[in-house]
Amino acid sequence: MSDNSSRKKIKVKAGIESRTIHVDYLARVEGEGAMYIKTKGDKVEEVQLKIFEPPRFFEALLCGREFYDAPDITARICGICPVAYQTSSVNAMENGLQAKLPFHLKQLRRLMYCGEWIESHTLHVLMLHAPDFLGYQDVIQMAKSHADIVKRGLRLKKAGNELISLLGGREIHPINVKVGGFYHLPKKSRLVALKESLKQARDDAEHIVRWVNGFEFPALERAYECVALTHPEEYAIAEGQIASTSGLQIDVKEFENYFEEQHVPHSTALHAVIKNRGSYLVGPMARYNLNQDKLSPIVKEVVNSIGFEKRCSNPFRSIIIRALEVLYACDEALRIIDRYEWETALPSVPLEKRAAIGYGASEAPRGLLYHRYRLDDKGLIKEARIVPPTSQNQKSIEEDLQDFVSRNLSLSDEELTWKCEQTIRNYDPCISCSAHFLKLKRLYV
Amino acid sequence: MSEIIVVGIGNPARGDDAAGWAVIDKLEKRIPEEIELSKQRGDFSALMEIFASHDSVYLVDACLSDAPPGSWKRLDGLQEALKVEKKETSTHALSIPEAIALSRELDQLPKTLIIYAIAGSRFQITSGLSPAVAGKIESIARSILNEKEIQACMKKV
Repeated sequence: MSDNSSRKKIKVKAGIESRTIHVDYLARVEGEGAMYIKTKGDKVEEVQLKIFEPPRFFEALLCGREFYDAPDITARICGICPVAYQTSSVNAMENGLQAKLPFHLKQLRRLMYCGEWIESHTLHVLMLHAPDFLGYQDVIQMAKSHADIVKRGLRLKKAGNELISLLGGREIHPINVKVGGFYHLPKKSRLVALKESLKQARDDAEHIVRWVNGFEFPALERAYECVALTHPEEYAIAEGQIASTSGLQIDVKEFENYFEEQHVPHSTALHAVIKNRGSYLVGPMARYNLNQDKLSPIVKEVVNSIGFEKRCSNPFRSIIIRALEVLYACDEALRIIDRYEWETALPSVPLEKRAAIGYGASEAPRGLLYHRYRLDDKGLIKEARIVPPTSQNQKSIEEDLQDFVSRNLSLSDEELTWKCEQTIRNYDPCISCSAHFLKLKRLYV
Repeated sequence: MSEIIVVGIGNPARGDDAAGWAVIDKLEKRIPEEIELSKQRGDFSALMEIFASHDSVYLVDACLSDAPPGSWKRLDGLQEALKVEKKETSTHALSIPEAIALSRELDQLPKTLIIYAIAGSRFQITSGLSPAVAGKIESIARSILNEKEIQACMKKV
């Protein structure tokens, strides 16, 4: 059952009246987090997703640096979603410096982002999350009975990595993205060479959608306010406006008017809330619920053929949406490559330094990623603000746990612990990303 | 794709973690073209692909060890149970022992898998190789050059 080997310890104190489930180290999530649940009788008294990964000071680190350093520095926040950090940072800088990117550069940004969705989602769906549903300790155990699926997953991950390598210069922490575009554009022949592996990847992705759709899903329906970027012409990935299922529709620059981050004592990451409303959900489920009409015909056909709901509110079923987004990203990558005719076009647009505030967002695999920078007239960063998806989802994760535990108190401690960890992994949380911030308070006496 | 590959794993900016790459640099002009040399950063899927597509794989990597810095060991990756490093959390990646275990389940291991593990002492950014590790890079390179099948390949050329 549960993967105890990768934790320091699990404390389960059972009694007639109360019990405490405390997982000191969450396995199969990125970064350092713990879970604490206290129940009394048939009531859940306390739920905490504890993030104790040390703050990483990125926002402070950016201050005083040139505006063009932002994509390379922020890419280091995460090894699994660096394209998201680069894209949100260049979006913000280009917004502040009033640079308008031509269509071909936007398409290439989107293509590179497809690579990240493919490799990041595949890793989570197959290597980290699927074992939960099938009762395996990890992917190595799962591979004993599902070798074909794991091989498909590895092929998919490779296809995603190849896209990022070609457009980004290398697959981890790419180096080819710059404010204003790219340093170099790829030759058409090199992109066309990826088509075969992407077609195979698309087949593999469809197979995996159908496979995960066959899992058994614990019952849990939640009334989330879903928040994601939307775009009038495409399934929003690298740009768009911010929308919610409660009718919010705002420009990215208005983000901080509607959302705020709060300190909580048990977490080194901030908790984000919608002002005056509370928790909200970002990520694949939010995107699907808001933007499914923009999915490509191939993906819509698969959605229909598996009978997937129009509005998903069971967080355990997010694994199906993640798999659908892998399918979409493969299909979208092929579409962009087929239309690629820009190898002799300019790789970037000129920029003019100016004092400005720039706002940018994009859809990281785990959800909305917001950046804001204030620049001085020399192009130096004076202030940086980054709101990653995991800190936005933390409150929803805790509420999911609260809801799930209160409905499942009859489960054994071991089973409940397992299911609670699975509940957290529904979010593919990236704890390292969420603990990037610094709040420095100086007291002058 | 050649049948034999020597893979250095590491990060050149992270002190003794650069040991794997340093060994590859030492081998560059001393090994025939028939033998592939590769520098990797440890991505498990890339490593598994290398396992699946070569008959013989020689890995060089720095490790944390109780042994004195610079001491190194030649391990048979197919026979010896490798200890998974203390890992309380997944970093969205598999370790080398886990990558080997997963490749085994997928029946995608090479026929030969030798691991040269060298004990490092410092892994901070831009700290460079420690003198203890730097002093052993040549001896690891020589040991690889003396591997039977690498010798056989060199004699053929």
